[in-house]
Amino acid sequence: MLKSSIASLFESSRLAIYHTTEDAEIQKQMSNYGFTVKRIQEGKTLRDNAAVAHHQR
Amino acid sequence: MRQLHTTKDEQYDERQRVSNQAKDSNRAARLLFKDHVKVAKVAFRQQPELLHSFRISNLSNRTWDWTEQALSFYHKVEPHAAQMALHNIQPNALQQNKAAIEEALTIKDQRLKKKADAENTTQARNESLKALRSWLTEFHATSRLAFKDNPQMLEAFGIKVKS
Repeated sequence: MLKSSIASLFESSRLAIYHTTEDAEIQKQMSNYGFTVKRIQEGKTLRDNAAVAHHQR
Repeated sequence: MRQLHTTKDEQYDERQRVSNQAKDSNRAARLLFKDHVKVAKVAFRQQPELLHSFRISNLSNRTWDWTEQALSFYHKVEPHAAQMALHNIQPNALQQNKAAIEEALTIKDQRLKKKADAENTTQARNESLKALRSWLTEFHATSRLAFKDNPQMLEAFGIKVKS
């Protein structure tokens, strides 16, 4: 994976997690479409794990 | 960025230096082993059974196979070192070359382990990025549905919206 696409992946996932955890309305709307708080939390864990693995190299 | 490149270049040079040093030591140990074998063939020519037990009639040319053959030889010849000494190969010369070969094998094992560790780290990183990518794809697909009437929100998520 290219460096630029990795950076883009981290930034896009950061935006997704940030907006959905900070704004209850957004969270509710996403949840109504099946993307629950649990899924958001999973995304945060995946992002944290990926960041650690990426910086270990 | 230049600093980063310099550091990487330096790391590469250092790895090359260590690798070349290991190759040189390896080559020197192999040449010495061949000399010791030549002497052993003369020193033990009157004891064919003992000479046969050294398993040195044919020396392996494969990169690392010879080291096993050499360690076995040094182990078996050790009790008969006095006989080698009569031909000007002192016991400490035998011991030193045995130690040099053991060290070369240790370095090789460490290098292989380091390589395997690096491959595992890369694999773990790729798998974690793949999992995150999959999650984000699902998030974007859901947000396009949830905010189909709110393009500003989609843009806030970093999703390009056709105007």
